[in-house]
Amino acid sequence: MKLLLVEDVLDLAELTRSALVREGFAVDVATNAADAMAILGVAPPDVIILDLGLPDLDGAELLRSLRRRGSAIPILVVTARGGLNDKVEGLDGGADDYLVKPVAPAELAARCRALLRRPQEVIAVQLQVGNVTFDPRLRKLKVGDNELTLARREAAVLESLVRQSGRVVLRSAIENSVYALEDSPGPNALEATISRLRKALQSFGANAEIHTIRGIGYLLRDGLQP
Amino acid sequence: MSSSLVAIVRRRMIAVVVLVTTLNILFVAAYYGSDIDALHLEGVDGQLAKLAESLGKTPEGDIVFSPSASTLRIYTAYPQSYGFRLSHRDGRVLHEMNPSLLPPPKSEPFKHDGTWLSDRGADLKLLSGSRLVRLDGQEIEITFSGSSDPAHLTLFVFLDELLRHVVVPLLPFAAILTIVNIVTVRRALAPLMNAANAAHEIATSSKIGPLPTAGLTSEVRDLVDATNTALARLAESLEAERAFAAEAAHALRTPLAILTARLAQLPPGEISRSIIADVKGVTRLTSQLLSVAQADTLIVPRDKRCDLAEVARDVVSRMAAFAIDQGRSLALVADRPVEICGDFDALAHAARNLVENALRFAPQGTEVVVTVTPDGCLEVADQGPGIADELKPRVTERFWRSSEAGKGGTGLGLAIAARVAAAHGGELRFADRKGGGTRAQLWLSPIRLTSAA
Repeated sequence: MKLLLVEDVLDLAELTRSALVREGFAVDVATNAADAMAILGVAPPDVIILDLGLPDLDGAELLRSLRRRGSAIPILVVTARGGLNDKVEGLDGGADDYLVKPVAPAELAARCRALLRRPQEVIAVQLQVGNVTFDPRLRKLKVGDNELTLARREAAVLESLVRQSGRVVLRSAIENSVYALEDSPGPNALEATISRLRKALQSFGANAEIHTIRGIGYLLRDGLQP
Repeated sequence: MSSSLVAIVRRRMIAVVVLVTTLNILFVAAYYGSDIDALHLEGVDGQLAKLAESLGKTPEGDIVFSPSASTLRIYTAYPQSYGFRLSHRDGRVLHEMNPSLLPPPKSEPFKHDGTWLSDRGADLKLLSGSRLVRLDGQEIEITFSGSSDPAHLTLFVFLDELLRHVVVPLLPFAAILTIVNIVTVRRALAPLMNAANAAHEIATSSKIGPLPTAGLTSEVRDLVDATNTALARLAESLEAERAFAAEAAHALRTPLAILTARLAQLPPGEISRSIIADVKGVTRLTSQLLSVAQADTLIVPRDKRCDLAEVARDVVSRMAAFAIDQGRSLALVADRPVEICGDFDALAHAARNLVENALRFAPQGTEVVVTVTPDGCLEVADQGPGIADELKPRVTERFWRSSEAGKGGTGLGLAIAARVAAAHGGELRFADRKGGGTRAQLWLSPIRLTSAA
């Protein structure tokens, strides 16, 4: 997996590059927009990490011009601006993700992986959160040696939670993806499904847990995090 | 004190017109009043003319007198005061009323052929006159007398003169003058009002632009030019402040980013963990300082809309995992959209600060509830120790921190939230939660049209 890191502060570029290399990426570094364009022409990367403050061209301008030319390479914007409104500016310009400096290298690597995973997500065979493995095609839930084939609905609910683990999944989004129009869910149908999934995870000794965020939805979180 | 300039000028213009009209009336009145005889004569002449109009002829050629009731009114109402006689050339009387007032018919009449005369008599109150009327070759003499004028014939003549010489020629002129004045004043002051409107727009726009100077008269232009100079300086210093905050944040964040990247290379251990935590604290403080600067210069355009429920949903979604890490839970109570005039990102930032604050003070295992109500309130309720009444005004002061606040707070979060609320024309209030705890409320103005849905 190849990354292009566009960062004008040399120290930071080098530190970030070596950290990402340790995480297993191949990393090209450009310290200005002109270099970045040159590298893009020769060796297109899988993900671009773009600092918005560049000496020769505003990073946001570079972002827009890339998108105008139809480039579909995922772009992760890293900026030192980040205030009340700058986030919108970055994402509106066509960035796929957005981080405010300083960013821990581990976080940066995780975001890059997430961006790379996106197109392949649909065909991913095994999804993993903590010690929980889930195969959506076979509807198979696995924790350690314990294995269970889930019913269609439970599998669909778990899949949407696992795919967005660590983030809140709106209740309405789960209902839309799980229940077709004809079998309109009763008010407690989703709660019942979630409760069955919780019991299964608990009895298998899973370290991931489904949290209810009252009024919004659910959050599957791997319990190893701080 | 601050009544409209247009109203003042209009009032004065109308006063002038009224004054001129009154003077004119007084002048005409004095003029006619000084020649009272002429008025008396005209009164007599008027009666003679009325009587003459009542004469007619039958098909056989006889002369008849057929007066209307109004013509005869003064003679029936005041038989002591008015009388008339119509007589043929030969002295035959055609018609008469109250003849006792009249001079006796003369054997040699028609001295005053076609004219009239007034004899004021010994007591100076008897008015009389006669006129000769020719009707198809026949001649009729009309004689009229009146004493002491109880029907105010002279007065009516006077009023009639006023009407003809003052009211008819002057009033339309006065009316036109008034209208032209009002329109002119309005037109002349329109550029001033436009300038005022433009200045009002600036108060709620994100840019401090100059007021338009097109079509201004020199006096108004002076004022607008001076205002524009002041505005330009204001915009300049505001822009400088914004730029400085952005530059400062950038300048601080880059070394912090290098520091963070270097720290990641350290082998894990107690010391590296606590240094990483310290750097996170400094990072957080940097962000909050930038947010303070941005909140201070935040201007929310009047047409900017967002859904307060969506703001709350966004914040709760983003903060839920953090809350779980802290051993607390987050909940949202927002059933329907609440459209408000506001900036989504700034409000989300403010709400996030309230949630962070609540999570810091809420005991382990409790729930922090974010509620959005249709009256434009986003509330964050915790079950913490609450805020003593005397401290409530202080918690939004910059860098003020409660003695109970643990690590991690910057003392800026609530100040930012209060400032964002103020930029929206709203307010950050603190109420006590029943059963203990604080309810931090962002009050904003809802847009009414969606509330019926």
